[in-house]
Amino acid sequence: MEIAWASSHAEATTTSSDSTPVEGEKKEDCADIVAARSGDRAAFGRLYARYLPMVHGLLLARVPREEAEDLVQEVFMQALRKLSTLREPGAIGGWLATIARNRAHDYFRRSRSRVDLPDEIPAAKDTADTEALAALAAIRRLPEAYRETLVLRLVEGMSGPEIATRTGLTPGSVRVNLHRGMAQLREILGKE
Amino acid sequence: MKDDFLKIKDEYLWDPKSAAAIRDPDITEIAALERSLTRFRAPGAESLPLPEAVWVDRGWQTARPSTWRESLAIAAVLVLAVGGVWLSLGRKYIGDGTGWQGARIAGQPNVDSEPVAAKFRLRTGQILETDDASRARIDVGNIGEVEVGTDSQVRLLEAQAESGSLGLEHGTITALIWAPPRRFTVRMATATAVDLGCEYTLHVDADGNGWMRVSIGWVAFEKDGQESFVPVDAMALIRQGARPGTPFYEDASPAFRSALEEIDFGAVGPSEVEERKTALATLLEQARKRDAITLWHLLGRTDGTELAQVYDDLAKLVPPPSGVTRNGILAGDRHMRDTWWDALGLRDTGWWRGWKRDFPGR
Repeated sequence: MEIAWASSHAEATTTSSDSTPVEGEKKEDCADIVAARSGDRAAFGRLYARYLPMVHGLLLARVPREEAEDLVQEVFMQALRKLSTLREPGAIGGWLATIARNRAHDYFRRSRSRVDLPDEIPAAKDTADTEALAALAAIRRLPEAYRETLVLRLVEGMSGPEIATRTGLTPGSVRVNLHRGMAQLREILGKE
Repeated sequence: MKDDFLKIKDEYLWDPKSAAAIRDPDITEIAALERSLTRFRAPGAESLPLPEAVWVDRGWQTARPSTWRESLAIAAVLVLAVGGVWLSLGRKYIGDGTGWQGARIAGQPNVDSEPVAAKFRLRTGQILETDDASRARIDVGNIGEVEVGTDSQVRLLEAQAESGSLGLEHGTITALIWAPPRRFTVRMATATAVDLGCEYTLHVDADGNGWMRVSIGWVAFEKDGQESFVPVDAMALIRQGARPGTPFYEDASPAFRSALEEIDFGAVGPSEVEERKTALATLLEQARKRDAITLWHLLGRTDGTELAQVYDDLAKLVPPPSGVTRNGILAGDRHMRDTWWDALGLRDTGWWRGWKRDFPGR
C-alpha cells in the first residue's frame, strides 16, 4: 500500500537523521531547559555536566584556581534561580558565560584587591607543577578574549568548534582568538 | 613552506582530532602544553556535585509554605520583573489576553483579509492568512514563536504572556516553545497538539489531513480523552474525522508505517478484517526495539486478540517490569500501562502526567 503522506511531505521525513552534533546538543539543551524550569533535577544536572568545563574554564581564566570550583557552583546556583529569564534556549552557553564573567568580576570586587594571578607559582610541588603554573600564569596575562579561548582549548581540552558551540562565539572569532592568543603565549613563554 | 607549517599548527589548535596524526614540532609543543595544563581541568560533574541546598532553595526537594510577607515580596518582585521585561523589550507586545505580536517573513500575509505591515498585532479571534509566496512569524507572548508557512490559515484563540492557543485551520506551522509543558496548544478539527517543549511542525491540508513532526522535545496529541505522546524524531498522522494517529519514529521501515496507517485509519468492517490482521502482523514483525513506543500506544488502542498480540510482541522488545501482568494489560489496567512506559527508556509517565496536575484546566 502506498503511503499517502510520504510523497507529499518528503521533506519532513528525510531530515531527522541529518542533524549535526551541534543541532543534537541544541535539542538536548532545549528539552533539558524546559524540563529544568519545571523542577526536573535530572535535566538541570545534565545541563550542569554539559556546561561545567566551559564555566570552569572561563573562571579559571580570571580567578585563583583554588577559587574556581566554588565559583562554578555559585554560577550554576545563580543560573538555576534565573533559568526562567532565559528567553532563548539556544543561547544558554552565552548566558552562562555572562554569569560566569560577572561572578568572577564580583569575586574581585568583594575581595577589594585584585589578586595577582601569576603569583601562584611558588605554590608548585615539583618541576612539572612549576611549568604548568607558569604556563597558566602566562595565559592569564593575555588579553581577555585570547585568555578565555586558550584556557578552554588547552586546559579544558575543548576543540575550536566545541568552544564556539558552548560559548556562543562565532567559529571565526574562536579561530582568530586561538591563533593570536597562541602567538602571544609563545612570545611570553619564550621570554621567560 | 612556513605558511604550510602555520596552517597545520592552526588546524591542530582548532581541532586536535583533525590533525592528530601529524607530528610537527610545533604541534608537539602545543600538545605538551595541553598535557601539562590538564591538571587544572574541571573535575567531572560527579566529583563536583551541586550542593543539596540548591534544590532545597528551589523547593524541588522540600516544599515550605510561604508566609504572606514572602508572598507579597514575591508578587512585588514579579511585578517589577514583568515591568522590566516589558521595558527591555522596547514595549514589545507580549500578550495581555487580547493579542500577540507578529512579523512578516516573506510576501504579503493578511490578517482578516487586510495586508499586514512588517510588524503587526494579531488580536484574539483574528485570522492570519498566508498565500503560496508569503510567510509570517507570531511571537507567542514571551515563551516562544510560531512560524506560519505558505498557504496557511491560523486563528489566534488565546493570547497571554506565558500561555496561549492557536487554531490551525489549514497549512503548516512550526512552533518553538521554551515554556514549561502545556502552556501552548494548537487546536485542529481532529485533535489538539499540546506542547511539552520544544519544537515541532504541524501540517493540515484543506481536507483536514496532515501530520505532526517533533524536531526537539515532546508534544502530546489529545482528542476525546485519548492521548498520544510524540518524542523527538517521531511523527503522528492526522486524518479528518479520525482520532490522532499512533506515534511512530520516522526511521521505521516503510512496511511498518504502512501497516500502522492501515491500523489507525483503515476502514473497519467485515470485509476489512483480513486486511487489518495482515497489517498488524506486518507491524509486529517489522517492529524494532525503538518502535516499542508505537506498540505501547497500541496497548490502549486495540482489544481482544489484537491486544494480546501487541502485548506479546512488546514484551519481547521491552520485558514488562515487575507488577505488570498480561492479564492486567489485557484488562486495560492504566497503571500497569504507565509502569511499562517507564521501562521504555523515555521520560517517565510522572513527567507528563505531572503537568496536568500543575496546570489544571489547560
